[in-house]
Amino acid sequence: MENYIYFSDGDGADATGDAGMWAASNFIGVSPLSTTTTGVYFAGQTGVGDAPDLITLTHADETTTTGHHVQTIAKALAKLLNAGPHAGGSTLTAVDLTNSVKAEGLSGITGVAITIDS
Amino acid sequence: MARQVNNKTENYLYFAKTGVVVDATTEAVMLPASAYLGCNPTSATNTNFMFEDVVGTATATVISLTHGSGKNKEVIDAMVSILNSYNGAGELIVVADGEADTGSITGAANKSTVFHKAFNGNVTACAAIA
Repeated sequence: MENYIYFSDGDGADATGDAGMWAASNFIGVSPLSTTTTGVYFAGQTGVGDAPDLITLTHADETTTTGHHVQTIAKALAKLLNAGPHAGGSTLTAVDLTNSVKAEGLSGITGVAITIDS
Repeated sequence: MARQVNNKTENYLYFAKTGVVVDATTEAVMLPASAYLGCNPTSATNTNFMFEDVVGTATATVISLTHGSGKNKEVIDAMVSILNSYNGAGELIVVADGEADTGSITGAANKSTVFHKAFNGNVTACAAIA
């Protein structure tokens, strides 16, 4: 069994870049992109040797108070990627803004942008 | 790129650079332990740990940890124990979080630095993430 992680923006999953699902085993990493955005990287879905897929998550700027939101996102994704064993075999929604679904720890995400072959 | 062994938990490691307001890829990263490539000491007070790149390029992400003089081997041993630690809950492992208000920066005023207990106080800073 494998965990599969789903992300979607808020305008419907009906075009390239609106949504995607990635295998936990294809997770590469997380890092901040700016004070209000964090990047989540998975191995690219369009073929061997292609660029990774980037999911850009938008959040509040907490850099002057509790620190960048990247650690909160990292904690939530670590639990999601490792979820189970009962979670194995089903889609695990990280952030789905179209259907207003957010995994535990990701309630502060206000935007999702997906770049295939970043 | 597939690293994780199905049905087994993965250790996910967190690093944040010391002395900066974190807001860029070179200032904080979360990486799977399975992306670890190797390490080497660069001085008596610094050891570099290499991982497959966090943004997916062919060039490794290098984590530079500052530590007590001559403590390279102790720090390397500690990193091995962290990489191999049992993590039944699947939670994030904060290895070296240097993000805090140092007086020289204005940021993260409400948090403190965290260095994994396995280092036994030998690691004092995450000097660089490159």
